[in-house]
Amino acid sequence: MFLNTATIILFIIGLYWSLVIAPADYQQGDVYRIIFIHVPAAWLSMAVYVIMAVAGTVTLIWRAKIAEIICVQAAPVGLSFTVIALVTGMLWGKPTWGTYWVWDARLTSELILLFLYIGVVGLYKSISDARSAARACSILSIVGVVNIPIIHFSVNWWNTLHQGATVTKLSAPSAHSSMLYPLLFMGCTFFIYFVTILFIRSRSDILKRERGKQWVQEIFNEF
Amino acid sequence: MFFMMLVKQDFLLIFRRKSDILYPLFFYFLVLILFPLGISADSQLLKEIGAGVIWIVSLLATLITLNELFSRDFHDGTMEQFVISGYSLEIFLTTKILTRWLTTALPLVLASPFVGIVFNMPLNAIFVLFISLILGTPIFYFIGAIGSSLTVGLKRGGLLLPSIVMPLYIPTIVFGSSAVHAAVYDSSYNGQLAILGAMLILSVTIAPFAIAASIRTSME
Amino acid sequence: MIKKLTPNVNAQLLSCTRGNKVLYSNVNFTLEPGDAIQIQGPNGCGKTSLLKQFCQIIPTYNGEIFIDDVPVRSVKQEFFSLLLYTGHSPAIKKDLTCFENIQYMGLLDGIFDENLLEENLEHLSLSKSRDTLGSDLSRGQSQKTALSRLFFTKRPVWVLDEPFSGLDLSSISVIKKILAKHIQEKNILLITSHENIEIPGVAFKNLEID
Repeated sequence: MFLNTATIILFIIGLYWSLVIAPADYQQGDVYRIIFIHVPAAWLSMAVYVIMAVAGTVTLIWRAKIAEIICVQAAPVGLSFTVIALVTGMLWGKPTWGTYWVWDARLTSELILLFLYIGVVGLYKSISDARSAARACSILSIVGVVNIPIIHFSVNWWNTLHQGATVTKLSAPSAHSSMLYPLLFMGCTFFIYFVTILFIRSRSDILKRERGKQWVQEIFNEF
Repeated sequence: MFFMMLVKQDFLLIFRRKSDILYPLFFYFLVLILFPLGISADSQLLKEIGAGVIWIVSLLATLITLNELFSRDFHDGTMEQFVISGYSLEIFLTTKILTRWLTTALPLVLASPFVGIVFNMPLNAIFVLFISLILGTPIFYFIGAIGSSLTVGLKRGGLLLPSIVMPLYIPTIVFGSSAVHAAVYDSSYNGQLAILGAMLILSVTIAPFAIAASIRTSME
Repeated sequence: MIKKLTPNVNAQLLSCTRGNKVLYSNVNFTLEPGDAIQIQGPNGCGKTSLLKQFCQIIPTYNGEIFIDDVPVRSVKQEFFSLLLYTGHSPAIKKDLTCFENIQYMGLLDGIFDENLLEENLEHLSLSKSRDTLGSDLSRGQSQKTALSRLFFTKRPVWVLDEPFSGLDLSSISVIKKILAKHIQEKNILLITSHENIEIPGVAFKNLEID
């Protein structure tokens, strides 16, 4: 309960701060404000994958049910963060640089991350037994997290071959503190949001898994 | 002795189904022919896109064989027997992957010089093409086997396999095709080949553990 | 470390859930050298799942299996080297001939001598089907090919899932004799069946699952 209210309050503060108080960027006007959603979403999409992989390692080594649940329920959330990052990135790109998509290193890496997430979520949905599915997703997320630095390195390298001079146009603007602080604040807000959603999802997953047990029946009988 | 018999059995199994060997080879040639036909046979264009095209078609040809890699053994019960045999599952699976690579991918790699000529590549580029494919195709097999072993028990696993495996293939494709591309235009390619070699060593040593773990999970 | 050649096996509180259904729970049994257990129950009650859990193909999330009082998880590969499991459908490669399949099984048991393997064809009258491809064997012949492993293996723990299904009467009596010999040599046997199986010389403990 506490987390729910905390999330809502933080979101209200964060959005007000970023949308109203932070000054308009001299180059891009008000459009740039979308980075307050875009950048935290991108940060979270990567952080959630790492969290998922750590939970996956715990699942495989210690077979803890909680780790299984965290690994499996974090995946769709991370997937949606990646989608938000990509879509907001595209919406930002059109007014600022004239094109929806550009094959730069960061966007391409984010797109690949999207496919890594789709693989994990798709795998979970295809296996009928929940515990085996969790183990399979744990293996896949560990394989993914090991590959992410390699993929990132190769995409960056590939980008230097094909982009050259246009890199500077697409790099993140150097942030003035009045923009940096709301950005960091939104980052924390997104993280708290992630934790809240994870708790909600995990709770319903636990209820679903244990529904034969007595303590669950008692909870439902109370309604 | 055990190891030799295992390898002999694997080869026996593969050669009993010759279509498994020929199908990827035909696929490889047919799709490669489509590129000049579908885009343009301009020799400059072919020279420019040749490296990437050959690499991509090699990837696709190995991808279509990945589905079948463990599927037959899994479904007729012999994979189960090996899991509980007391022998190392990692070694068994690695042997299987290597024999499959030797019979299915090696013909493609051996055919690549001819394809290189068709795509107007200079001689040194063809040499680099050959080396890069020899290094890269086993990487495709080992990483692909991870996806294959995760989806082997699924009813529609064939759809999920490419989406699991594609992101993991990207570094190999990037470095492989750029090595050849650099050779075509007389730039340095040794760095790319070295990285490819490193990725090969990494995948051969680490992937078997993930593959064995995935097979055990798929059996549940 | 597993000390003896034939171990004591103690299974406690095994349970299995498939999807939403609990197949069985709180299953306990003990097997000492020379013991044989027959698991009985109707179709779909979980006999095969129990055997697979015993063989650690399906993991034991609840409950534990002890091999010589050591949890099986810590001695898994050693346990596997003592184990022989035949599943519900015979594990036969369709692309290999009957004899090549037997060679493959000999590989798993560390037997490479072809003559030794050839001798075993006679036990279940498989000599005529020696060079028939697995895909052309009848179900009974496939089952016999899979079971011919029993005649040359040295593994002490046998776990057989409905071994007699699809077999003709003479093969059934040959198999019963080899199972009796196995028990007399102080090994362990775990089988499933639909109906009560009687083997002269073997005192079965029965385990019913409902």
